[in-house]
Amino acid sequence: MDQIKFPWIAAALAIIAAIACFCNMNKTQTQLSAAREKLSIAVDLLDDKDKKLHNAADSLDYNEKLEATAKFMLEAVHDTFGRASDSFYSESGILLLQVGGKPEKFVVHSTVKGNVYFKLLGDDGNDLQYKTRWSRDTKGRWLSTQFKNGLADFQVTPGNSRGYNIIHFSNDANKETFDVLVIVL
Amino acid sequence: MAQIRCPNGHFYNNELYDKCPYCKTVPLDPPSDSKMPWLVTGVAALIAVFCFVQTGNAQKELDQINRSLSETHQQLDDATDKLSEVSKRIDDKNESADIAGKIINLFRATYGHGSDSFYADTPMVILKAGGEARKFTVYFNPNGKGGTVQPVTIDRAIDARCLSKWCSDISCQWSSEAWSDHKKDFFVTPGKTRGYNIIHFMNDADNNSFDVLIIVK
Repeated sequence: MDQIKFPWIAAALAIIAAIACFCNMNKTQTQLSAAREKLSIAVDLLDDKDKKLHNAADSLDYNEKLEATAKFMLEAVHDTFGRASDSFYSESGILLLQVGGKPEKFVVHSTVKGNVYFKLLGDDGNDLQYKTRWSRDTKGRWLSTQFKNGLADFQVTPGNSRGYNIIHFSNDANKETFDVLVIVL
Repeated sequence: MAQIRCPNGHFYNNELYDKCPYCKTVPLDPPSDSKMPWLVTGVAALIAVFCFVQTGNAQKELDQINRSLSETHQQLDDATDKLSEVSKRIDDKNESADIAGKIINLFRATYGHGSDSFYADTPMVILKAGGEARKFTVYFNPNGKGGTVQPVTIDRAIDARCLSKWCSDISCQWSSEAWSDHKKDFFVTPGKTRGYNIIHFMNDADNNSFDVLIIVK
């Protein structure tokens, strides 16, 4: 009887071992499948993040270039308009107005003797056919009758035409001049 | 000592007798299922070994994937941090970029654009006094109206005495006579005078026109 039982005991043990190994393999395979899926999701997420990061970097780069370009343009305008010297200048070289909108004023500084005159280009019947968007109906006037402490207010009233105009300021004593660029939008 | 049964049903001790002492018949072969347990054991062992090897391989791959997963998560965390940082910088920049865009559009709305078929690619050209020429592109599609385009600098047309910082020593030139694909490059060369000038472009067929502001620093 013992001779008969022993092989079956060995077989039973082998079967148990096989089942255990199979279960372990199955468990590991399940873990592997889950890990593969997680890795796939993580890689997709990483790709997505990379794309977003790339787009964001492009957007940032574009914004920075835009800002640099505008800064450069404005600096060029301010270096060119609004100043004759340290004693004769406007507080701004460019004035932006709304078409048909309210008047805007700015301060003109002049600490030298002499009368300060202004002229809007086109006032004296200059040939305007060569100026595309000439805002002919832009008007300017002094708000102050004279300079007080070297300061006088100047008011510009936009008309109904969009475009640009140039206000020319001159001091008749020392012949200094500067222009203010007016843009009516 | 083992008791066995002969084909005729007699029990006897097979260690004492080769044949059945009762009927002299030869005993049958041991039942075939006496080999069965070893066969089962072998197959089960093979399966166990196969499963063991497979588990080992799977475990190795699992370890590898877990390492990759850990690295990927780390990269993901880094990317999230970077994205957050860039997004914050974009938010900070958006307001200034918005203002910058408005400034540029402001100049575009005033200079550099006659119509959708007649315009320059820039509203303003900034040059360095005594420096090199710069070019910009003029787009002109006459749409059957025909006409020619001639640039004019404003100092030829109005009293330059009314302008401060007027630089009349800039020079202008087309890159070629003919339009190529409805566009042509235009070169502006600065003189030594700092200031500004305005170049006026007009189509003589329909009087459509635009200006480009030139600033020489």
